[in-house]
Amino acid sequence: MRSNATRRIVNGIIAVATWFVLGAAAATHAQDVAVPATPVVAPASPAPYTAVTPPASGVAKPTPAPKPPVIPYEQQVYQVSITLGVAPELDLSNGESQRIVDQLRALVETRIGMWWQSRVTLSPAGEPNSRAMLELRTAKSWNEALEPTTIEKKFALTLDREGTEFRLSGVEWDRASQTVTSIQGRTTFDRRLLPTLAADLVFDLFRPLVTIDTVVENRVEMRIRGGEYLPPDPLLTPFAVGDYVTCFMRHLGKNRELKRMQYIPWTSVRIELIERGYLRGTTVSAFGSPLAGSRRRVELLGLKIRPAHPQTRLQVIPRGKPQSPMAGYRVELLDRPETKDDKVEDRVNVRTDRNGEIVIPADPAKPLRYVIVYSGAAPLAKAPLIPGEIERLVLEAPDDSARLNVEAETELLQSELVDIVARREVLMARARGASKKANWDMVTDLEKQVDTLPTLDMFATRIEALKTPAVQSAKRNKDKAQESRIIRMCKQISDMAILHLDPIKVKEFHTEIEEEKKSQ
Amino acid sequence: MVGRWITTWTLVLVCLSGMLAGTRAQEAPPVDPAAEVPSAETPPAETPPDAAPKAPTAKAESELPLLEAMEVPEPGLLINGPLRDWVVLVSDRVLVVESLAPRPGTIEKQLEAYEEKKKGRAGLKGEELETFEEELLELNYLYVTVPGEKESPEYRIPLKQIREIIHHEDLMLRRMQMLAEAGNIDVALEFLNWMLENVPDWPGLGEKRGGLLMADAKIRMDAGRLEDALVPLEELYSLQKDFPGVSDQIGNVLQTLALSAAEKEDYPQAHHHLERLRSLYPDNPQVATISNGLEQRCVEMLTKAEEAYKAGKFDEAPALAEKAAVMWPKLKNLKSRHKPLVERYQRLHVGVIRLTGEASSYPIPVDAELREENLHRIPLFALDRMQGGTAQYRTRFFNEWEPMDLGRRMRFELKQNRQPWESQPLLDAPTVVQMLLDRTNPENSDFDERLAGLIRSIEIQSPTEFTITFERVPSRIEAVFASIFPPANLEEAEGGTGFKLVESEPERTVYRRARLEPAGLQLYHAAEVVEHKYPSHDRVVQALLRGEISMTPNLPDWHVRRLLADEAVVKDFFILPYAVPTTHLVLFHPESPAWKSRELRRALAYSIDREKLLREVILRDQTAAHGRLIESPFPRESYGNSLLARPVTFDLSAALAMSVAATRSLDPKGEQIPTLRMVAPPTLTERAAALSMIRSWKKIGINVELVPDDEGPQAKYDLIYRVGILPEPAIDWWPIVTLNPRANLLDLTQKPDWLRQQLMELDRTADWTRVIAQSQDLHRRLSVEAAYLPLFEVDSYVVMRKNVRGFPPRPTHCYDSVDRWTLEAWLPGQ
Repeated sequence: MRSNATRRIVNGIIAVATWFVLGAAAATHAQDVAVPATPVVAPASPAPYTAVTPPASGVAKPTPAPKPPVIPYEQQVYQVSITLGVAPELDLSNGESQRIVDQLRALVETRIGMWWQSRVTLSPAGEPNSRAMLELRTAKSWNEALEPTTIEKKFALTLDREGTEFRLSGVEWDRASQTVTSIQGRTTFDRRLLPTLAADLVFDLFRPLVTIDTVVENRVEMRIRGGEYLPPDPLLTPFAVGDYVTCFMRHLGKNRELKRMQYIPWTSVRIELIERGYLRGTTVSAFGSPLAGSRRRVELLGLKIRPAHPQTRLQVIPRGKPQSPMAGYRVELLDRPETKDDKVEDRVNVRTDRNGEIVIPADPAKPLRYVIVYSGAAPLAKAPLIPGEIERLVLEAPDDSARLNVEAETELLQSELVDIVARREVLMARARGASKKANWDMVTDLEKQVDTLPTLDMFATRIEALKTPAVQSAKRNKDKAQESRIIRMCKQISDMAILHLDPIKVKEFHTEIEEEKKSQ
Repeated sequence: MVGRWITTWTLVLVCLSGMLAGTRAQEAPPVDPAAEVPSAETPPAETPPDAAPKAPTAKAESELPLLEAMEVPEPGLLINGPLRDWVVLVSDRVLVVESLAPRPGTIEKQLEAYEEKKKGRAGLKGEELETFEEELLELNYLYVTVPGEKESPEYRIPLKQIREIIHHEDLMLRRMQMLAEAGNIDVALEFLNWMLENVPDWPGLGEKRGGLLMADAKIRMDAGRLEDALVPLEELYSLQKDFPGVSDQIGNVLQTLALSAAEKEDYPQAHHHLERLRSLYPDNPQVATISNGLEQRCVEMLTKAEEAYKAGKFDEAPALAEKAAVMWPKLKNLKSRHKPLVERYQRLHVGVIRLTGEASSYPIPVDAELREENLHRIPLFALDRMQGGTAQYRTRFFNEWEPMDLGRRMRFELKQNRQPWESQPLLDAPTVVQMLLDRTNPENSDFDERLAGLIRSIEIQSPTEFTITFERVPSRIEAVFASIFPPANLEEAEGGTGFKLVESEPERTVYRRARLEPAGLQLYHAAEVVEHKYPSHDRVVQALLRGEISMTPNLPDWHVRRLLADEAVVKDFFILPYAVPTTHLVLFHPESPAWKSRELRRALAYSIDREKLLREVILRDQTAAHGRLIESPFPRESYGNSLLARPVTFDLSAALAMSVAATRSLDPKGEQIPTLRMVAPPTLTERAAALSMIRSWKKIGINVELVPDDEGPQAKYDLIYRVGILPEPAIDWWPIVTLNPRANLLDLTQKPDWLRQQLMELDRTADWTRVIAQSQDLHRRLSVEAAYLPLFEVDSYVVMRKNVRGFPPRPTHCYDSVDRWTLEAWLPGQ
């Protein structure tokens, strides 16, 4: 049996050699293939590319390499690396650790078949070997570490102890999306189950990739990467009807190098038809037409959504004001979209807490939820989400403060209006009573009191002073809905004032009193 | 007078006419101008039939009753009926006539007038003399009006035919005597009072009064009401010291009372009676006997106290010493023996109206419960004073609290030691941090949402230092920490902290310092607070002046003013205003119809004459020197008050209009607003104010009932009469709106969105200028909403004897820093 160090050295050499070979192949491929699909292998780092490029001033013109055949997306296999880090405190011997790795490799190859080209090894030095270390790694650190390689899917597993149990933890890194899953785990007392649990964990972490080919309105056609290679284990069939796919765009450069990633928020595709490597689905989004299909330098891809968390904590913030989360707002959770025929009566009503957060539990039976944030009776924001997909989410809603201010002030104006009208009616009634008794001193006094009550002009001025800055604020925020609500509220209170504070009423009252005086 | 004569004549004529009609029909016409009283010798003169009343004939006189047949009228007739005098003729016949004037001594005065007139005859001639003679002749007659005569009720009777006149008052005296003899003292006293009020100088009244008072005293003594018997006896003594037997009776009563009070250990009462007895009878042997007995008891008690002190039972000694001092304050060397006993273990006696644990419908701690809380616990930060409208805080727990990183973090350094007199726990960083963490844990019963939203993390640097990293920079961390109290179960091994309730009886409650001061100190501090219950504030003041208590916390303003005006009281007592005035306001339960209808709230507000309520019920002072109307729930000088707020005005017409509007908004049929339930503090003044408001609301058709205290603390009510101190608008707006002392967002679910957001914004704001602006804006908006009904603020006072030292010059509550107070030895009468 070779020592662990020797094994590591040998593995290292093999890895470097593979890296060089694949890097060169990738460079060639990147020059030749113009198909808008993810390359079979990822772009290699510049160093190895430079190393295999022939010098500019060559003696003889090299013969052009034959064009490699274009492999359809659904036939492209994944280059997968699975590493297992073993915590030193477990006191597992190298042989024991290697045996687990070997068994894991066998299980993976047996169950996944040709879909993956996988390498299963013990973690090299520097990679996480416990859950705590795994937690410290971010997507950025994984990107930096794995980008120079040809690995497309990396499963970093760790084995440590939790109490008296063995604990397997792992994450999946995906090159295409440059994302990492959250940590998932398995625990067991039985050491013999570790390879099986590790394999289960790997397949649970695995997020199959799809390429989105055509988008017509909200109908989407997709192809599964390697979808033609059906795994021997039927449980590992990549998609089922009702699954959801999250979408992202890869903006590429001239050399098809990745320039920018763009995630399409609050958007997913529900799978409705599966035909081997072909998928058809419907877009579910907070936006009208969020997907536009792949273009020349833009790849539109998708990843299967696997809700890994028991819940999602959603924070609602006003747009541009993350420091002022929207506390105490009413939020409705719907398990299906509201239509004319289906008003969705069985809504769940919750309120955001002081941090503007609500907790939405994941439900495998109803994975998709529609969130509607209300301000008063008016909806502020609507978005679909799959609870459990991400642990914490932030939803930006339009800033409602200007409208709330107008609402408060109009309520106060309404209150004053009621007060004025009630007082005026009482004063008029008393004046009429006094005029009947010919108590003209009192009548004069009461008439004066009626005249001193706020008039329609005063109200109109106040309403205008309230409306103008609020409307301007809404315009600045380009929030037409808010602007129209502000105008509507101001109009309502203005109409009320016109109705109840019509100066003609006061004039008629004075005339009536005058006539009464004359008749006596 | 003439009018009365005519009226009386008209009335009584009806009665007599029936009796005399037959006779008169056969008799000659009456004399002119007034009929002469018929007699055997003098026939009636002839008069025109319609000119003057008819005179009784000789037969009529004989029909008059004899004096001996006359009975004194019944008490009711005498007191309530018209005045009737008896004219007793020489024939012993009695003519009952309307009251004569002048009285008493009608005949004597007329004879005097006759003699006086006669002197003016000299020098008169002719017609003048004739007129004079006629007038002189007239003076020989007494003109009377006979009640019941319809036609001619007026008669004249020659004076020489009248033997005597028994006036109505004389008849009253006779009836009074009869009543006294029959034991009906109360009615007799009513006669006496009537006469004292109307004819205090009536001949014979003095003698009768003395007899009556004596009879009254005797009856009271026989009934065993010695104290009561002293009242008529002393009254009699003050009127007539030499009244037979009065002096002896007073002596006997006082002696019995003194002995009885001594037996009951009511020593002040015994001294009182003894002193009165001594002043009356300095040589009475009983004076010396009783004095010696009390002195002996005092010496025994004092010796017992000294023995307890020597045995180290410091808590027992002062009670015995105090008792001894009450028994016989004149004991020689009492002061020097008493002082060490009461200064080693100091007991503060406090006079109150209500003790903790008594029934109350009020749902939040107030009055006795609040006093108990103040004795028991000290918050991390306590209100110290108001300065420029801003609350200033002090702390017993921290040496320093220093903001860092522009206020995002704050380092707290705890005190490492405390003075022997300090009763608060000595906290370490882990304890405080755990306390704070408990409040940020939603699963914990102490969870405080506001605090949880503020704190991001806490780091312990050392056993006495910790640093809080804030999620948001708090505007005033002291105000937030002012509601956090250290756990009550700290330092259990040493007895605990603060002052604990150790004895609870119907008449008194005792709180004792949980951890007593160690031995060997130069100066000790208050160790026990004894709250004595009294039935009224009058009795509290009496107890204060008599030396039974050293302090009283919340006297009504009229008592305070009286004490302030009394130089002797000001010399002996501190009368201190509290640092912050007490605010009175009415709040509405969030689930009440009152909260749902703005019109109803307005109606309730408009119908209260706050000025009158303050002057007549709360202060009983037309100048309202110690009270002011307010327009916000905070002190008038508070930074949270907005000048743009809408003032509450008293306008019954508007209230009525609003009431009608509220009825329509609450009940679609517009029938009636449901009866609202109001809770008020279990204190007399506030309940009186609440009842007064309820009467005002009834006038506009809003029925409100005051929940009786025996129904216990209420969770469901509509209105609450809130009395207290709300010094920090940034923190206190929330409980005003929600009625929950903790700021839970869920409580705002039913509130308008703008209010919820504004309260949240106030909580989140770190900039003090914005905090002020937002507090004022809330004040402006909520005043228009009539979200609360501000009443007034009152300067409350604590009164304490000047032997109490060490209290803050402007205490925030009645037991402010009580563990620091010292009580110098003081003896009654010192």
